Amino acid sequence: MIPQTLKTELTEYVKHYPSERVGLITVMHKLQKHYGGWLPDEAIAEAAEIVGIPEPEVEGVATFYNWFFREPVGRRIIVVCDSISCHLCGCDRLVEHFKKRLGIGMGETTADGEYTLLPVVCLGNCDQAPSIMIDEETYNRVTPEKLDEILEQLSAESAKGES
Amino acid sequence: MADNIKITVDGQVVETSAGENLLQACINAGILVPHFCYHEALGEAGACRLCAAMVSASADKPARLEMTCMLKAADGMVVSLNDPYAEGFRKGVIEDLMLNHPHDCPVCDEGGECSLQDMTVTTQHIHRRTRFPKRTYENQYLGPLVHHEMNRCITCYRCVRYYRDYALGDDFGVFGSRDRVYFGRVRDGVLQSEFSGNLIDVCPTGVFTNKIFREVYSRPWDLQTRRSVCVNCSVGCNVLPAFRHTTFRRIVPERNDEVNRFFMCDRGRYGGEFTNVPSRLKTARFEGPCLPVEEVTARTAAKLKQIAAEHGGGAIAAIGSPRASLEANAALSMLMKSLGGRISMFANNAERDAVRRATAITVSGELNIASLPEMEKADFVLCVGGDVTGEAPMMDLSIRQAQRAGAPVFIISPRAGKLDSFSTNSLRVKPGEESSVLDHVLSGSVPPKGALSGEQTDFAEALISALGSAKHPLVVCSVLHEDIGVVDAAYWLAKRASRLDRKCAIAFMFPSANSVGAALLRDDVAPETLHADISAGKIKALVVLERNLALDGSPFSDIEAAFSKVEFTCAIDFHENATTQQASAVVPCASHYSSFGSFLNYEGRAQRFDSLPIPGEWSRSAGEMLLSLVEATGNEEAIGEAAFSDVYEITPESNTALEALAVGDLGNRVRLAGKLPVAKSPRRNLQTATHNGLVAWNIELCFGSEELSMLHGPTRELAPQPFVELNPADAESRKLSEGEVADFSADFGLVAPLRLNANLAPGVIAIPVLKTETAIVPEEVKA
Repeated sequence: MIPQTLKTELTEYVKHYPSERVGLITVMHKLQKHYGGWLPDEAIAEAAEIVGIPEPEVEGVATFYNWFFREPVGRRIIVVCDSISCHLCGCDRLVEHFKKRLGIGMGETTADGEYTLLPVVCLGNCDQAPSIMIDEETYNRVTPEKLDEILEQLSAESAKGES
Repeated sequence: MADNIKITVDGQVVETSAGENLLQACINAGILVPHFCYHEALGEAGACRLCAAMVSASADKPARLEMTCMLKAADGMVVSLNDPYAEGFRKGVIEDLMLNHPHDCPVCDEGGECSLQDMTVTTQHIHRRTRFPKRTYENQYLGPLVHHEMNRCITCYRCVRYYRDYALGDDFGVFGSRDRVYFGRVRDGVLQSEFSGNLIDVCPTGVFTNKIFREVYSRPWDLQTRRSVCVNCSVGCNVLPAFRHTTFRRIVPERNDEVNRFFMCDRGRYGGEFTNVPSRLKTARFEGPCLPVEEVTARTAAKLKQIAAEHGGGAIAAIGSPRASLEANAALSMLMKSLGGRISMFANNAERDAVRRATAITVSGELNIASLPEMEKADFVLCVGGDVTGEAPMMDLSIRQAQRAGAPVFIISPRAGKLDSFSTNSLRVKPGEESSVLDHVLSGSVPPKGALSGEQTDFAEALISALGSAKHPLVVCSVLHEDIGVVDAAYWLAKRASRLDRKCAIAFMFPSANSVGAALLRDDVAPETLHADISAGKIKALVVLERNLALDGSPFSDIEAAFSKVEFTCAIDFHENATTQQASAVVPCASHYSSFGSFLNYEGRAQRFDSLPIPGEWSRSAGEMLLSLVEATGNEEAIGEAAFSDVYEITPESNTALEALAVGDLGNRVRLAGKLPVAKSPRRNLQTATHNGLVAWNIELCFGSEELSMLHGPTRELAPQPFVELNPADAESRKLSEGEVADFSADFGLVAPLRLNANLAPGVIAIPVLKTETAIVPEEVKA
């Protein structure tokens, strides 16, 4: 259940559009944020109610896009591009390294709920392959060594955030 | 066609109209263009890439590969389907589609009628070149009617385009993307649309299959079929019932471009299971013991003659049936005529009056009667006094098409149905009050103060304004609620709304498949007159044809009491029911899908249906059985060369057309001969009787209110348990709450759980019509 304030805010928000359904994606992002990074079944029903469209349409949108999640994910999402350029430049090595370092394979989440590892087809950085993205940050020409640096930096950030 | 153009397809010159879909133009010319996603009713999507051909604007222009479904035909176009490049492309498409399609054709229910199978064989895609595991899905439970097998999907999107865009269902969708696209519901559950069975037909492969047929499966080439007409409502959709080894297996819709075209409702598709009802009558009885049919016919004839001789013809009567064929009712009428007896067709006088008035309007030729395709083209729709979804489901689907095209939909009835969610304006009134609101529309003047509520005035004024600008207005009116006042109001509205520059079409929803035919029968006696004679002991012999009097709300519904006053009763039906159980003689006849005859649908359209010859003396059509009964009375010369127009109030031309009618024809509309004798009883509405401030209203359900579909099969599962509905305000003032078992036995004769419905007019108690009588297994089957 979302708080009434959020519901009111979103209901008001979608009214800004000539057709309320246009606001669906934003509503879903806000709901995903509210529910800790993913959309449980109730969020689908709530989005449908706020926007005024049938539930299957919301579910269709939720399952179409990569950045909506229908099951719990880690606090940070790592996507590794496995498209042609990145594949040629060794994205598989990165995946192996993640496995070694975080103990998770593709589609898995670390036991502490920090990271989820997912594949993606092309981040648009073919000239700087291999490319990965963690949350909204893109990292290019990534090597296992560079990965260690990135992960250490991120865990330092997390520790700072918690303290 | 205004702009006739010529295109060339594989060297053949094809005439078509400018702007016609190129793929459809080829199909119309009888040229097979492979396709999956295109459907004549649903249009094109360009999703399957299979209808590719080399197309050039003219012979001297270079050709390039195009999807024919995405082009409009233009003059001089040259289409080459058999170009090697196009053929190779299509073969590649099939190979792609087959990458993940299971190799289960030998055990798949679609095998033998699968487009994908046909196309794969046609393109000679025989060997699989890939070695990775196929993508798999989990299937969903979609209810008792439709089976889901998602692995077979080739993502043509026909299902979702049909279910959501065409039928306006909101509990089905498409999920995911790329090679993990999924068609189904958000979660497992019964499909809520009354038209879900059409998914089976629109799917070009076996993702959606008939769940009931799966259990009694037969390869389509082993099925025996005869073209028939659906018996589950008055629309008269054309169907193809299929049998194997004399058992009924399934129904699929059959195309009739003036009636149902591509689709049919679930009640019709699955309602035919009554053919296999365990209570099927297979033996004749005469005063107890089972005897050969000939023996029973002979004894019945002798008995009828004896009674006629002793007491005169006036002591003999028959009850015909609005679900029996024109032929069967005619034979019954002739039997009565030869004995001097009388015949009665309806359940009660109110029904008789309403149905006969609506029939007279329908077949008089005065107003335009809308066929289903014409309804789809309406630009204004008014539904009066009923729930279209429950009473004539396919009309609902047609009105949805009009609504999609922008027609405003006005609904005036005591209770909101499913169509109300698509309506522009919906008004709740007490039963019988529909006519007073429409009278205001008719008069066009401001009603006297207090005559109409503010809400009613607003509705009437919105209606007047929308009707004024419409070019093809349509009025749909229910006759199931036995209210002649509503029928008249709809008639006058349509009549006044017809002007020089436009005609207002009208369509009535009748209670049964052949109600119009029943209403046209000459010399029909009012049921209450007959009932009075029975009660007074004046009737000594009664013949009942294909009617279960316990379920139709007639004064005879206490069959035991009525029959006890009659010396001899004979029932002719295909299954054992409360009426056959009480009858002294029982003659079995074929069930609808194994009999032949004709029906008049809601338009007065005569349609002939055929049957498979099924062996067994119990499987002759009721009409045949009755004719042999007439013969056995020795009166066959009294019938002579009787024509339909001698029995029914139709013109000689209609009779000629009816005689010439063949199975599979589009059907002919009959015309009324002279004036239909309409009872001169004053307008009255049985339902306006108020008890403790409440008026009863019958909820006509798609699943539950139709007798035959409730006999057997999955349609029974979809019928709700008994309930009553009240407006929340009425419930509150009576201190009743949702779900509570409410006792209305004193006033309305029922005790049932209460549902609150804000979309029910205040002061109305809505009671569903549930004809879920438990099937009675005949004695000889038990033993």
